[in-house]
Amino acid sequence: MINKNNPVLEIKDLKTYFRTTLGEIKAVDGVSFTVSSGKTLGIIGESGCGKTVTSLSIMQLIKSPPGRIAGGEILLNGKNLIGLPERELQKIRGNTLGMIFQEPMTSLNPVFTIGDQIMETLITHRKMNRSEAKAIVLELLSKVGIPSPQIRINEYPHQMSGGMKQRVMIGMAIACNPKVLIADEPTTALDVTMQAQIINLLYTLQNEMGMSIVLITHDLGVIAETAHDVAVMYASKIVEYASVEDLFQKPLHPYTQGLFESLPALGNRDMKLRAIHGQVPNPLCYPSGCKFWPRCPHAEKKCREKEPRLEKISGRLIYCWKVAEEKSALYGPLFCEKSNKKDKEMNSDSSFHKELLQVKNLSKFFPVKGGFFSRAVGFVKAVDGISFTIKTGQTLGLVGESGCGKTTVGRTILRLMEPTQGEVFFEGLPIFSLKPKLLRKMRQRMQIVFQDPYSSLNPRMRVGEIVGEALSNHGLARGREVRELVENLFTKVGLSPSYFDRYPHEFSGGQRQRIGIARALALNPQFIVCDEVVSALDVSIQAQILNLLEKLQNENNLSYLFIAHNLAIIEYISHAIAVMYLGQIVEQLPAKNLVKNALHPYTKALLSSNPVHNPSQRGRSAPLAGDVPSAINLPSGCRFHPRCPIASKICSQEAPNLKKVEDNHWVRCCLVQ
Amino acid sequence: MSEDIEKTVYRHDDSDLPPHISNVKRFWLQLCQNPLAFWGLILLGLFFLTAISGTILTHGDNPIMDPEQVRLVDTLKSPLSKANIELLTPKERPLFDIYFLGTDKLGRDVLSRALQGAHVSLLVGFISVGISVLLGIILGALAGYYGNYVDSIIMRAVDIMLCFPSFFLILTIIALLPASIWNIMIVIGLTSWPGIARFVRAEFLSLRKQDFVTAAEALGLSKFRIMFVHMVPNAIAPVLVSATIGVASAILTESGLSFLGFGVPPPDASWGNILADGKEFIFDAPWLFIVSGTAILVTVLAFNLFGEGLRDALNPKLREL
Repeated sequence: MINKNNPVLEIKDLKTYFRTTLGEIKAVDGVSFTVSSGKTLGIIGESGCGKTVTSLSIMQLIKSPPGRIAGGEILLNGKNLIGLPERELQKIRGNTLGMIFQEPMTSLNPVFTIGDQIMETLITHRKMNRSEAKAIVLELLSKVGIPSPQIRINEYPHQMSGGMKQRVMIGMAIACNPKVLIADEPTTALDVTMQAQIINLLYTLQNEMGMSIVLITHDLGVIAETAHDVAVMYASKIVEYASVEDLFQKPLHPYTQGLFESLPALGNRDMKLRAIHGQVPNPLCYPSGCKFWPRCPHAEKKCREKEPRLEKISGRLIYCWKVAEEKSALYGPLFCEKSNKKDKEMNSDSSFHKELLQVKNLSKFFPVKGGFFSRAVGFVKAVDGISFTIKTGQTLGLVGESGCGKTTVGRTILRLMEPTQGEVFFEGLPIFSLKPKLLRKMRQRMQIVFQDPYSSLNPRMRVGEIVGEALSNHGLARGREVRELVENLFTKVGLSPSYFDRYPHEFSGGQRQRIGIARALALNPQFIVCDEVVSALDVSIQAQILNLLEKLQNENNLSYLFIAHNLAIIEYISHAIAVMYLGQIVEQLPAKNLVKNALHPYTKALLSSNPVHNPSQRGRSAPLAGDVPSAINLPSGCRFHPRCPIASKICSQEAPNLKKVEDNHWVRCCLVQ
Repeated sequence: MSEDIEKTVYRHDDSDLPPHISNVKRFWLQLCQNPLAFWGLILLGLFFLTAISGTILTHGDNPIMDPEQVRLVDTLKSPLSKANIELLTPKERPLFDIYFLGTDKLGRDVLSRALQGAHVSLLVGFISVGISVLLGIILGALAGYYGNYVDSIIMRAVDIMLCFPSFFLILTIIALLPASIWNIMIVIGLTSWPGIARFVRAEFLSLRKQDFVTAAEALGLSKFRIMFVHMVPNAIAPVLVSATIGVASAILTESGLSFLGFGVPPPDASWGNILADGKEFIFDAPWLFIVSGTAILVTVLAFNLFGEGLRDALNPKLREL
């Protein structure tokens, strides 16, 4: 049942519209929900569904023009915030309503110390003097888990890590004991280990202070760990509104079901992901009738014609007349099926696959310049002695927290950066000693797909030209042929061939990623570095791209180096997994053994930091404390020992080597026998 | 039934993309939202028309309006005054026998001189800026792409160029060279590239880190192609803006030079030397400086306004879509 007792914040039929040159965008269209005292409401949905606009509307921070609140009520303790004069609102913001933003890097002012920034809210709202405020700030900082607050209070934002800054943001938001805390994607920009810490912090703070939280996220795991009630948003509307237990037990709306099924879960790699077809519609041209019907597997004629209302079924609200009529979830085309490809692969003898790429003792150091005449005063050891092999038609997953050197590995292998040391053999050819002419020829066989679908396509070129450029440049095709080949590639990656003459900005993130994949495939390579290809995408699109990559691998016998920070995705797509920490591989093992057989404490910590999709298991303590240390001053001995939960004396003295524990399984740890 | 749905689903897929707006149309929409830029553009259009029609009317052996025709009987006539028809030969008579904007101390028709001046200003503005943009883009691109020594050398050259007060540098060079409008253009062009080179270099430094440049490298494209096909079009927006404003400043520089007597050699007219001629008769024949001064003011203003509008229209951060 949805919590409706002691409502602190009630949103009734909220409508926020934006005026643009192409027409009015209904970013939030009739959204209602209730946040009870001391409870958390989670709002989940893909990007462009109106989650952030909802939160900004509650704070009355919508810029006008072009935006305006076109209707509805926002009741905070029974008082309507809409239409209040700016002075009144200023008293509420930061006082009874606190807010945390997604990007901790930009939401703190770089020219003030963090102490001053937190004090500012206290001085404004609580009319304190500086010394009173300072005492409270010190208390707050230790409350949000910042070590040695006496020193940290005088530091500037750039001196802190992302996780620390997010803690400071939380401290700032709770400084005045707000009744309601609005958290807009508070963990999205953070690593899993840091995410686990922040989730844990929010959980403890809520229990201590009894505040209500509105938590906006796209991650079902975060919802499962924090929320009491969940509102699922799609295309500016709430499509399902239920308590978290109900929702995770059985999602009813086809969109919610789709979200669940497009998410890889740890230890479940044999399942095939059921991606929701298509993408979130452009708010300028919403479909008629039900907003979800173009992507819904159960859509009927009636869905196109009549817009459903939110209807109450067994304690929850559903925006689907079909579910409402049948009073249960719809079954049919949406269910998990076993992918047969991986089974085949697992049964086959691994020696059947030829070794395609060998990396031997690869290192890449970046000089740190300083002093007179910018001499190198030190080195960032981004990659420090890494070796692995990738076989034909297989995927090696490279996983680790940000800053551990994953991306550098990918780029150095392709010689997009010059290595400091080591060798890479591609089909026996030493990549690092190739002459420029031969290297350009080799580039046809090894390609890369990037993380950011926005910066990876040249905004001034037509997408057809982007994909076809290399073909004509390497003399593989000319004129009419190029266009035909490109149109074939478009079909192959699931784009309409008619998009040839469009520009990148006209496409959504997922479509752009498909264009990036088409570009990589154009030269018919054998090996592709996939550098965080899905981490910038929404879950439903993420599943589409993962399925596409698998399909292409089967069809063309491609090998991937798949770089990601999400362990569940890595486990799903890879055949073998290498876990990196501070420039070194700490464990390498077959993907199917990851959950059962992982030995290194870091791998284990990553596994348990991954949010569990089970609301009854919440409130666990975060498995790893602290941050990744700087790669300039590496810890002595084992690089992981300062954070390692099982570290002993020997760990700080002796640097462990990669040990073979069984076939295809290596671990770098002194304590593992 | 289900077939019907499938068809509709597919059709919807095809129209998934937002309505196609060409870049030109988007740019135009953006420009029209800024009234000042819009009027700047209109004024620029008028300026071009004037300059082109001026060229047609005042050029050739027997022009329709002769800016160089001296009429000693009609000196310093005020605007709209009638020509002294009895004393003038048919060749000397102005168009419609009226001096629309008056005459100067030699009885030359100010309207035809101003028209010829528009042509000079247009030429100076565009050719000198063309030279500086070309140089600036090439040098800035090389500096930004290669970095290290190439960057140091080019940027030190830029610093040296920026050390000189450019107007006096131009004056010195012009004084040493034979007076000609082409020399002026080349000299202005060769002294105003450092700003543009800096812009392009800065853009290149940030573009260098963008994935599409790495992707082009990974595809095995040549450095030349990466620089000039992939990166330059992305670095061109600030250059265009500064070039537009650069045209205005080139026109001003030329006027200044002509005013000081180092510019367009007589008998050719330019707004600067009309102004210089007018300074002796500032109270007796105010139309001389009013006409040329207004022309310079309006043109420079139009270019600057348009440049501002261009900056907004080309800035992707200000785009709604």
